[in-house]
Amino acid sequence: MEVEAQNGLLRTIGHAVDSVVKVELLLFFAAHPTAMDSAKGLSMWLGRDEKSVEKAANELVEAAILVRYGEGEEAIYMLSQDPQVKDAVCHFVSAELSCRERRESFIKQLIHKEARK
Amino acid sequence: MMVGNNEFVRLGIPGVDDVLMGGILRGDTILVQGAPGTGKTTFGLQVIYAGALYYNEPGLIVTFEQFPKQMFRDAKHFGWDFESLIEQRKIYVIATSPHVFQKQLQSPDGIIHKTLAEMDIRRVLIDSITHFQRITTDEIQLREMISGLLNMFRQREITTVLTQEVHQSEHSFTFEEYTVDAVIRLSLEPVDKVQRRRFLEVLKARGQAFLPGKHSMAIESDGIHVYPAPYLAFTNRTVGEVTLKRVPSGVPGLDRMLGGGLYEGFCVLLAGDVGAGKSMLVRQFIAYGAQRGEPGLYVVIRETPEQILRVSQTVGLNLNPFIEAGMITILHYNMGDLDPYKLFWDIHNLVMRKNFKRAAIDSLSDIQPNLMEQAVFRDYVAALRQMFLSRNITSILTFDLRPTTVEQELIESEIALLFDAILALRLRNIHDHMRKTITVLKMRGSEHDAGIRYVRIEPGEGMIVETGFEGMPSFLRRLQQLSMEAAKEKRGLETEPS
Repeated sequence: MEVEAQNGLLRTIGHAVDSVVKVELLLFFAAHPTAMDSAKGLSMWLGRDEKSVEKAANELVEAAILVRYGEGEEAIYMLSQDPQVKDAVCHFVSAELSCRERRESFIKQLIHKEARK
Repeated sequence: MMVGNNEFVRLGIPGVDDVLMGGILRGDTILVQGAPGTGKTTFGLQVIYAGALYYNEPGLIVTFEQFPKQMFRDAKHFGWDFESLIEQRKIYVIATSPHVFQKQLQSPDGIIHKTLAEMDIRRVLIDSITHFQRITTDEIQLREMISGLLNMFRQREITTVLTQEVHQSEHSFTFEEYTVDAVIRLSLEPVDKVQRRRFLEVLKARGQAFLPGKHSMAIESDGIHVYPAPYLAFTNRTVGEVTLKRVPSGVPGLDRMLGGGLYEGFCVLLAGDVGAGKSMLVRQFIAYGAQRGEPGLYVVIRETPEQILRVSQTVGLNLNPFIEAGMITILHYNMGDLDPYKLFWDIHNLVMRKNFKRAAIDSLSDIQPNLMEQAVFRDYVAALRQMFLSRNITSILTFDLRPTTVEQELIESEIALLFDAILALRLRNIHDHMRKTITVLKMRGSEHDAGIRYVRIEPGEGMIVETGFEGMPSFLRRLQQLSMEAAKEKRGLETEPS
């Protein structure tokens, strides 16, 4: 049952992470699971523009990977505190993104998808 | 540790708690300032790590710029396993922005307050406070913001370390310095044209005493070590048991000149020209002690231990068996990166641990240029002497003299007063031959031979002190005349017409 649940979460994460900024957010929060920041702050950690970070973070909130406290400019994002989600994120990152070659290939696929859109 | 009603928190960085005379008052805020690369973050991390590991004080790290992962990777070089302490919930780390941190602190049910309470956080590192300028550059607003933040930690008796970037050339005070309880400045300063050395200075520590001035700091394989200025930190004024026991130097002719040898616990200045045999005498002193069952410490800077062993063997001194038996301990330093304060505390740690009867430092002349302030040289030597005196160790400290320096100048010098005995080993031009000579210029509490004696260094025999310059009155008269002329010239007096 637990394996099924985790597989379900892994599929959710796989579907939700559909952009390079989301990959970067996922990597950031997986490496620093107690980090918390605003879209502006996250944009500085990632070196990305604030709007695209905000959009990606909100979509990850909808996918229950991140949690959001507050709204608008005051909104703060964190990794979900649900242990199962945290485990699944770590599992996903270690399986798909921790190896440099796999990560590059994953990102290339996303860029390809984004270009087709 | 409690002092009065105040509890001192040991920061856990070797030497820093000595500079702070026991640590910092619980709940105080410490501002650690410095230019890039001076070790501010390492300092803060070490305080948090030591707190969690040794003092059962959970810590919170707040970082506004450096990725925690990168911080912990760097910390691994010092053997600090932050990840393990995070897993054990002894350390919590937040990567965030100053404005989010501030908002969270203002919210009583925010994550930071929850963490502080749940983990019973006792230490906090904020790296760095300079980033609050991202919220506002208005100094009044910044001051209010930082004061509020610090008061929140003070009320909870949480010891807080804030790092702040300041440039080496800045001498003006920052408002943060007024707001915090203690200010520690780290610097990387040139000691000569090619080298820089690290220093730590406490500029302020409210409600407690501390050792003022700059102290040496080193980033070593296990983190930061601070070596307090010896003349301030070494306060042991005890004197070993005073005896009238004579200590043979290992050179029989010299012992005759000294009236039977040195006295136990004496600190001897062995000054002389380069190449006159100072190191040889020192080696014989240490080796002879070892033969008599008196453990010796030999601090050497110019020569490597291998060179010492080789040169000693040429005169029939085999130091190896004594080193292997632990009767002789050689402490070697490179001249290039010599830190005099570290050297002092290394000697101190050995002297306190081992039962040395004899010690030698070869040479003070290699230490002197590495002191940032030449004015403290006398106090530095005094601290060395006091350390040996407190353990009743008979010691010889060598010092190079310029060929033009006359004995009278040496006797009248500031450091001469510190020594119980002064020996001068000189190279003299006698009948077109450079000859080694020895003179006892001072010997407290004993009659001694005040003559100038020949010295020979013979293969298989070492240093031999011979008879005086009998039959050479003209040379001695000329020598005396030269000495007087040089002394007068030094004082700016006109030389009397001959």
